[in-house]
Amino acid sequence: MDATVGNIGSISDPSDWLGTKVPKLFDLESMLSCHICKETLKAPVMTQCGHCFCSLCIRRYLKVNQECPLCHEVQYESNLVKVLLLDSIGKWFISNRSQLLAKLNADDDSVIILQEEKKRPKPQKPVYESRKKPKTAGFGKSVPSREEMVECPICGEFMSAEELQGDHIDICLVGKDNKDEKEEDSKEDREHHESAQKVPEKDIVVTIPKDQDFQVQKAVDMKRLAKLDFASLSTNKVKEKLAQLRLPTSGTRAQLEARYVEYSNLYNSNLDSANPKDSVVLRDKLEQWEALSEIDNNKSNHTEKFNRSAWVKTHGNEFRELIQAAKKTHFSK
Amino acid sequence: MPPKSTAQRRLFKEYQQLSRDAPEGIIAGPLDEDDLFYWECLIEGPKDTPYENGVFSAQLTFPKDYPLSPPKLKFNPPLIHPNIYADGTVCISILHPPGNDPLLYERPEERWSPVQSVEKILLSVASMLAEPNVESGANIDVCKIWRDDRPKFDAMVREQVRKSLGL
Repeated sequence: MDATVGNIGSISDPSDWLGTKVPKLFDLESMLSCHICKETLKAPVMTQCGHCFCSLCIRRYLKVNQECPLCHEVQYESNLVKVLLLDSIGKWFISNRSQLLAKLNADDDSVIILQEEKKRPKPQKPVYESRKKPKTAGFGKSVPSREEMVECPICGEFMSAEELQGDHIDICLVGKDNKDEKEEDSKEDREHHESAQKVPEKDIVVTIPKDQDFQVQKAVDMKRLAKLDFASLSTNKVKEKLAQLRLPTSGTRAQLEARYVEYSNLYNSNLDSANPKDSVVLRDKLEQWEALSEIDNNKSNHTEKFNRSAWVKTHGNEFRELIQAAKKTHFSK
Repeated sequence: MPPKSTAQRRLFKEYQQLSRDAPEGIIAGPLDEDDLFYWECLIEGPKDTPYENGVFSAQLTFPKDYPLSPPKLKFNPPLIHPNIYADGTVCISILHPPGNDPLLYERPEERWSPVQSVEKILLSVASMLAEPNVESGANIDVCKIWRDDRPKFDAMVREQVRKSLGL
């Protein structure tokens, strides 16, 4: 057990500060930790109830259960808002932590000067985003022309695809049986005049020229990935969606769906970071994730508990034969 | 063995925290460092209850998507308690995933959410030992004895405690 404790000590933990000159830093690090993964917040987002989590963590959780893990208020993925300032604070903390810890552990009382790696980074201006709640009604002004709008498959109202894929669809789906609903075919190569505050999740408004494929790809990269209604999509359609994102299209239906969901989690949370990474990096991460879940699956097959009743079922006849044979030899004596 | 998946890293963190600063009367950790999804726990019986002086061993089994889904807790050997099934599986609200409680027995804040932890589970179990909840019992026979014949229940538990200590 002792060896394991040594190994564990290599992972940072807020309690590292308790033995230093400033034990109160325990509180600071605890506050900067995500409640879900318990690590320093990465690309944090805020829910409508005001709680912050890593974008990836809360997106994964909201796919399982649409409520805030802390206060249990109903939450939709589309209402998450990134908090860039907190992202910068977290990053600063991660990069300076070990130095700070070493200095505060040291016995000398010298003044603590944190070494800058390079030049002083420009102070990051907090970005003020509109907190305005998008209204589902009243989008009569400044909307795209009729042909650019799509019909909500649930309530039948017309609106832009972005608005629909924003939180309208979430709100409409609640309390409805979504068996026979159709995911509308969004046309990616459409100009959108959507105003930024209408769909808070979408931060970058771009105009996409219709004829240039490359630029289309680039602009699409900046948009959030929509939730898919898998029940209404054929396997080929799902594969098509994956291929569009340059993701592998092999595997079972369940694997395809899981791949899309995890990629959209990675993709959308990446957009909540102050400096989003290229989609190549995301595809790498997805690959790692898939490799890990495969290992886990294989592992669980090996270490799975011995299933007594199943064993008895499949080998019951052999047991009975053995018993009979044993009885025979017993009575023949 | 560097932990890789989110679940593994989180379990590692919790293990680290528990091994540094565990609440009184509770010991928990993975049996094998290569499999962080399977933990062994020891829970001390709370004072002033028939479980006093007992040390009960239980296994925690974590799902691959932990902490999105809760772990399972099973006492081995099974413990006599209204909220523990005959096979030893513990039935308390903190171990129930949110959103499948058709009878609305439990408030959402009592149920599992990723902000809960192994430590909170084990503390809840310790308080469950002290105060059984027969409103939503798991072992109906034990519930009946607890309700109708408390001295018999206490004696049964004490007997089990003595046995578990090898006396």
